[in-house]
Amino acid sequence: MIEKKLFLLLSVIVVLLMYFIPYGLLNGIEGPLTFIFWTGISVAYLIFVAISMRR
Amino acid sequence: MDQISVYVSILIYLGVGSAIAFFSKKYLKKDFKDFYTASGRFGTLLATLSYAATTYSAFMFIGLVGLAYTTGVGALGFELVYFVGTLLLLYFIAPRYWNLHKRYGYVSPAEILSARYGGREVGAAVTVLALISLIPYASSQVIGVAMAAEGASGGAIPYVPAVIIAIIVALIWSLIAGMWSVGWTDVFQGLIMLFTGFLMVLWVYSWGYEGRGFDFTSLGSLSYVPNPYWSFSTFLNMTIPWFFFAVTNPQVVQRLFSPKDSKTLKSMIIWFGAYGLLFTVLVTLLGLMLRGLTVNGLFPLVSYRDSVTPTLLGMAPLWIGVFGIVAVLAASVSTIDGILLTLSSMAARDIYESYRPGSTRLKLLVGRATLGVLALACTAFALARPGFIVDLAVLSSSLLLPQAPIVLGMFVWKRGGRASAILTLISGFSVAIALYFTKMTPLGLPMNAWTIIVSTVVYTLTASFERGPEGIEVFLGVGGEEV
Repeated sequence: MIEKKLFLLLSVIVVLLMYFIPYGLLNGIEGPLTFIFWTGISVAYLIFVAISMRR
Repeated sequence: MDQISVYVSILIYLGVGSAIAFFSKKYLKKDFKDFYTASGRFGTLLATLSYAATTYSAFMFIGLVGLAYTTGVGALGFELVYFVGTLLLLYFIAPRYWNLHKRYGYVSPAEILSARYGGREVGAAVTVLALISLIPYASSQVIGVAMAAEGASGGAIPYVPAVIIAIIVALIWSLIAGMWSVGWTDVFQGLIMLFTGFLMVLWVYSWGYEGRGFDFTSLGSLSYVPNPYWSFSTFLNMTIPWFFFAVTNPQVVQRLFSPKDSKTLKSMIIWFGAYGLLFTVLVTLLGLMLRGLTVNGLFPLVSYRDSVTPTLLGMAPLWIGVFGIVAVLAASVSTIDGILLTLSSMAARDIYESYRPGSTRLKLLVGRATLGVLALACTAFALARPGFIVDLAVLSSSLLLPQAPIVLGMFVWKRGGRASAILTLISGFSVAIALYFTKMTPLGLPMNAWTIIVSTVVYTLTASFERGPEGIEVFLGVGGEEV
């Protein structure tokens, strides 16, 4: 149960970052950073889900 | 690209796909449950590619490429919020749905809601909601095919015949062996889609960027958010229904019944994630690269965003055009046949059978008649060309959004019954429709934010005052078991 709560907490953080980093920290910065951020965090989340499901 | 090449490539695709559909018939047990869910006998390859091909549609090849081209990198974020939301929801919800199907033999997603909330009216209401809401989405697939064929052939293949071909193929492949023919043709189509995505990106890069590379800064304000299109409010409005897509769209929920065991279910989720992420990055990169080529004067400025991919297919060498058109057709057909199959199972099970039990032959007839009626409705809608593909897809998910609280609530909360579920659906749907037509944004919040807020508040309040039906503990126990 604790593992599931931790999974949920980390997932919510990932979702919030997907909204607030591009619209906050990366706001108005030209170049590939926003593309790289969204792709990178999604890759990291997929790996996290895969590890959590394989346990 | 000439007309003959387009027709020949479509004929080869139809021939191979139909052969696969007929081959899959040997797996069909010829009962209602097997026809609609494959009785939980799919292995990892079938389950993964069927889920992926049903999810990823013409929306990607036509809609998302055009959205990225016109509005920039925000299109990637919009689709990746869907991606992360889907993995999160599948992690918690997929094992519960799979368990319930295995234990009780449920065929349609609405049937589970009827059982949990203690009334057949709930399943019937969800079915009616899905029948109304999914017509724009299914139609947007057909629009995508017709536009691609028209664009790639330089207008030689008219819009109307392309619409009719797509609908007929989807109907035939659904009817041959139900979930089995849909699943096996999805494998074929899912592979074509991914391969073509790679092919198009590599070709555009080598044609337009070889030697100098793609520079994101050439995109200017399209390389970041917020920009004139992607205000925070627009991003929020479009991502909310997309985030809940995996639990509100019945055609993907029904796919969760098909894996043969829990290990296959987990593998399906992970491999679907890998497929989805790769495919999303490929198609958005394609749109952004094409925009860069427009800036450099190599690709014409396309003002109507759904015409970006068709314009590319019309300019590309024959072999790229052929793969492109077949991939768009594959993406569309694999989604439409999944939608038609699921909606017909819901009409037969949750409306007809729940009110007139015991007549199996008529139940199958109702299912098949629903397929025909829906196909006609989608054709009529597509011929009217009511809007952009992305907008139609998001509209469908917006109308399905009121289901989110009752789906998530049924697995975690013992309270709430028939009245709570139906009031939630009615209130959420009313808000969505009212704000869609009036274009109002009360307190600055967009339509989909209000839809999810109102439906969640109504669900929480009404369920607090309504006890769950008899036997709900058992139901929750089975759904919540580890797999």
